[in-house]
Amino acid sequence: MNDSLLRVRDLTVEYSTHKGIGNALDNINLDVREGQVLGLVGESGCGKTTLGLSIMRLLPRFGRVAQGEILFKERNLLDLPEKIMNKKIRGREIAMIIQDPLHALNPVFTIQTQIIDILRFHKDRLLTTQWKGKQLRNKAINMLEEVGIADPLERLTDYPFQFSGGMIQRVMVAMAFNCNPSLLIADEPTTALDVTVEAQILELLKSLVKRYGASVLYISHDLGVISEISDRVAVMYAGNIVEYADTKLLFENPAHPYTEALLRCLPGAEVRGKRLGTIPGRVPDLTERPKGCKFNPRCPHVMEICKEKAPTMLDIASDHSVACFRYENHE
Amino acid sequence: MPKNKVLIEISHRWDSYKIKSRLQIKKITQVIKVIRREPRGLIGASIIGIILLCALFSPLIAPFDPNEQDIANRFSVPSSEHLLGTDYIGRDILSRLIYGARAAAIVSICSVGIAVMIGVPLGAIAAYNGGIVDYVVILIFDVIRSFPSVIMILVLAAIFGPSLLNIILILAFTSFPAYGRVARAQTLCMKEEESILAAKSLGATTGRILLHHITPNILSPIIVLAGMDLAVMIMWESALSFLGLGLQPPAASWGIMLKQGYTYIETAPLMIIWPAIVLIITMLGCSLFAEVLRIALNPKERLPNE
Amino acid sequence: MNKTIDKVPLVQVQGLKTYFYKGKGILSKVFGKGLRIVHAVDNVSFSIEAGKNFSLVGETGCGKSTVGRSILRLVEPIEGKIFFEDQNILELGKGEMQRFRRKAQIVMQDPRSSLNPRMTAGELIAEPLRIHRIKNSEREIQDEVAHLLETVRLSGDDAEKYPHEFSGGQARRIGIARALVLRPQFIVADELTSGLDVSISAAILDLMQDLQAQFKLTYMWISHDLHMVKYISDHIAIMYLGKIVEIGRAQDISEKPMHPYSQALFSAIPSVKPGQATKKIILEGEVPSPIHPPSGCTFHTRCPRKLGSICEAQIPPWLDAGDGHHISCHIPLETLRK
Repeated sequence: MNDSLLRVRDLTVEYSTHKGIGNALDNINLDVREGQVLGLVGESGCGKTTLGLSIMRLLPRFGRVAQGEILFKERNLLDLPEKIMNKKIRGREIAMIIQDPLHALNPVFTIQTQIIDILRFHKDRLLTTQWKGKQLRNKAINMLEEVGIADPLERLTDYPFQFSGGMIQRVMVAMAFNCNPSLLIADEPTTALDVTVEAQILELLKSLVKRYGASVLYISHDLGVISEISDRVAVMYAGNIVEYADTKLLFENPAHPYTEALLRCLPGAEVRGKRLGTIPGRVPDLTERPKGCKFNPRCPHVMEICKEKAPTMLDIASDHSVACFRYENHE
Repeated sequence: MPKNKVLIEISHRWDSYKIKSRLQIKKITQVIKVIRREPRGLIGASIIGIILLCALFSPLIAPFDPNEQDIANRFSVPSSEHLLGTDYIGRDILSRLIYGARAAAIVSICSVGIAVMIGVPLGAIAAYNGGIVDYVVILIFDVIRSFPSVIMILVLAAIFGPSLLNIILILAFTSFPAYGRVARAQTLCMKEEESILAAKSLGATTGRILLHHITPNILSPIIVLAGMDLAVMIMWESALSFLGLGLQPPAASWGIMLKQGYTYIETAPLMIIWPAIVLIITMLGCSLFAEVLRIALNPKERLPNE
Repeated sequence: MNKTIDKVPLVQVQGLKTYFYKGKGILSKVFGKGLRIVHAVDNVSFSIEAGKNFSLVGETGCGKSTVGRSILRLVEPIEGKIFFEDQNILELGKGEMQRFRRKAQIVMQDPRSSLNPRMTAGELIAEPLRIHRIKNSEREIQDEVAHLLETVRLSGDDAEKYPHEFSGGQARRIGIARALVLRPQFIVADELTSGLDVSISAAILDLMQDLQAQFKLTYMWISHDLHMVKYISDHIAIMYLGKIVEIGRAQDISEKPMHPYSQALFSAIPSVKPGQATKKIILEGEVPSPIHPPSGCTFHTRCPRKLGSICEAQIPPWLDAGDGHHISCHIPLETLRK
C-alpha cells in the first residue's frame, strides 16, 4: 500500500509576469500513494492549480519548470517527449477534471460528439477490435449510465448548455474514467456547485475511485471537502507545502501556524457570536514574496530565524511533517 | 448676515470646483500618458493635430492664396517656391491642400459629431426602456439603413443641392443609425449588469444611470466606429465634391482637387497624387488615434500605477 | 435594552410573489405563444426583527436573490406586501421611495460586475451622496469617502483606484462602503462571501459584525454557504424552488432541521472533522424547472420521505414546532421530530 504512484521531487515552477519572475511553486515534494486520495488545500494563488498543471505538463506559456522531477510510475514525466505525453499519458494514465464545468466542454457540439471523439482518440487502449458508430454510441451510453445520468440515450444528443452544472461535471467524470486512469487530478471539481449537488458528485467520485482503483490528487480550497474525501492532506501557502499529514492528524492537530489560522477562520454554529480569527495582512504577490519562511509577516509565532531562513519539512510524528522552525527542537 | 452666507456659499463652490477639476485633470493626464506611451497613438495624434492646425490656421500656414492663379507657372513641378508644385491654372497645390483640410475637418467632425449625438442617446434610451420605444426607434434605424448609403447620399445630395451644411446633415443622417445600433446592442448587455442594479438600489434616476453608468461603458466600440467614420466622412466629402455634388469649385477641397487632377492624370500626375496621399494619411491617422483612444479611456487597459 | 421595542419587526414580507415572463416580445403577445412564466418567488412570508441577522438559504435558482431584490423593489413583485417600519413599500410614491432607498441597501454578490469599471472607488462611494444631495460641498464628500474607506479598513489612497485593481475581498469592502454611506438601517447582503478564500471571508464577516454594532444595522443574508449561515444568523429560512420550506431560530434549525429538504441540505455540508460526519442524505435527480414547478409540495419529486399521492396533490400545511419554528410538510410533526 505504501508504493508511491506519483512522486514530485524538488519541483520549482517559475512564472514570468510583467512585474518580474516569481516562483509559483518552490521546492515541492509530495507523494501520491497507490489507491489513496491526496488532498491539496490552500487559498487562491498558492500554486495548487499550477501543481496539477505541471503534472499534466500543461503549464501556461509564461510558466516554466525551473528544476525538479515528477516521477510517475518511476518515469520522469518532465523528460517525456510531448508526443508520448499526449498519446500515452494525458487522458489515459493521468486524467484531469477541471473546475469550471461550463467551459470544459465545447458549446457547439453535442455531448455525444465530444465523448465519441475522445473514445476514438483512445481506442487502442479500450481493448476492442471494432469501433464503429454503434459500438461507440453504446459505450458512450454505458459511460453516462455509470455516472448516474438519467435517460442517457436522450441526453447524448443534447448540447452542453442544456445540462446543469452538476450534470456536466458528471459527464466530465465519465470522460475522465473512460480509459481507466491510474491517477486522477481533480482540480476543484465541486467548487461551482451547490452543496447537495456537491455531495452527489463527491459520492460518485468516491465510488468510481474505489471501483477502478485509481489514485487521486484532489485540489480544493474547501477544507471540509478535503477532510471528507482525502486520506492524506498537503497544505500549501505561497508556493510551498507547509504541512503534510494524514487527514485525521492534520485536522485534529494542526501544527503549522497557517493551518491553525485557516481552521480558525471557518465559521460554524460552534463559534457563533465570537469573532472569527482572521489572518492579518494578505497573501504576498508572486514576485514580492518575503525572505525566509513565506508566512513570517503574518505569523503570530514569528521568530528571528523565520525572517532569515526558509524552513524545511520536519517529521513531527509518523505521517505528519511540517515546515516550521517552532518544531526544530523536537528533533 | 446674508451677504456673509453668500460669501461662504461662493467659497464652498470654489472649493468643490477645485477638487473636482483636480480629479478631472488627473484623469485627462492619465489618458494623455497612454496615448504618448503607444507609438500608434503618437502617430495618430500628430497626424490629426497637423490637420486640425492646418484647418484652423490655414491663412497663416498656407504660403499662397489657394485661388491665386499664376497661368505662366501652370503644371510646375515641386520647387522652392511651390513646394508641391502647381495645378492646371497655376494655383499652389500645398496651399490648396491646407485650405482643403478645412472642408475635410468641418465635414467629418460635424457629421460624425451629429451622428453620435443623435444615434447614441437614441440607441441607449431605446434599449434601456425597451417595449414600444425600442420598436419604434429600431424601425427608424432599419428603414434608414435599408437604403444603400451610396444611393441615398447621392439622391439626397441631388435633392437638397450642394452646400456645406447639406453635406454635413446628409452624412449625419445616413450614419447615425449605425451608432444607434451599436449603442443599443451594448446597452442591452450593460443593463443586465449588477452595477446597474446597484445604482438603482442607491436611488439613481434613469438619467443618471444612462449618463454615468451606461454611456461610459458602451463608448469603446463607438469611439472606434467614430474614428473610422471620420475617415469615411472625409472620403465622402471628397467623393461628393469629385462628383460635383459637394463643394463647388473654385473652393479648395481635396475631392475637387482629385477631380481636377483626374483630368490631367497622364500629363501632370502630381496633381492627383498629392491629395490622394494626404487623404490616405489622414484616414490612417484617424483610425490609429481612435484605437488608442479606446485603450486610453478604459482603466483596465492602462498599466497599473499610472 | 428595551426588549419589547427590539421585538418589533423591521421588515415584514407577506405573501410575496415575483414571477418573470420569458418571451414577451410583440409576436408572442399577439399569438399568445412562447410566453413562459418563471415562478421565481411563490408566496413567501417572513419577518425580520430589528438588529438581528436573518438568513435566506437555498441552492442556485431557488429564488433567494429575487426575494432580496423584491424587498428593495429592484424587481417588481406581482403580489404581496412588504412592510418596512409599517410602510408598505410596494405602495410608495417616487419621493417616498427615494427616502426608503436611504434606509435600505444591498451589497451585491459579484464585486466585479456590481461596481462600474469606469469609476474610481472614491467616485463609487461618493455617488450615493451626490444622488441624495446629502453633503453640499465637494470637500465634505471627499472627507466622507475617506472616512468610509477607513471604516471598511481600506486606505485613503484606495479612493483613486479602479475596481479591477482591487482583490475580491477589497472589492467587496467597497461595495459595503457604498451601501453604508447613506447610513441605512437595513442591509441585504447577497452572497457576500461566496468565491472568497476562507481567511478573507472571515475578515469580511468580522467587519460586517463590527459595522452592525457600530451603526445598529439589521442584516438579511442571502447565501448558500451553510457554515456561514449557521455562524452569523439569528433566524434562518430555507427556500426550495421559490418557496420557504422551513423557517425558525438559527439554533433550532441548524441543530435539528425537520423538513426533509433541510435535512438533506444540512447533512450535505462537508465537515472538517474527519470521521465525525453524519450520514449524508444524497438527493436524487435535479431541481425541477421553476417554469413548471411540481404540483402540491414542490419537493415531492426528490423527497426521500415522500408519503404518497397527498404530496403530489396538495400544498403542504404549515406545522408549528414552537418558538417560531415552522415547517411546510405533510409529514406529521411528531414523525418529523424523531
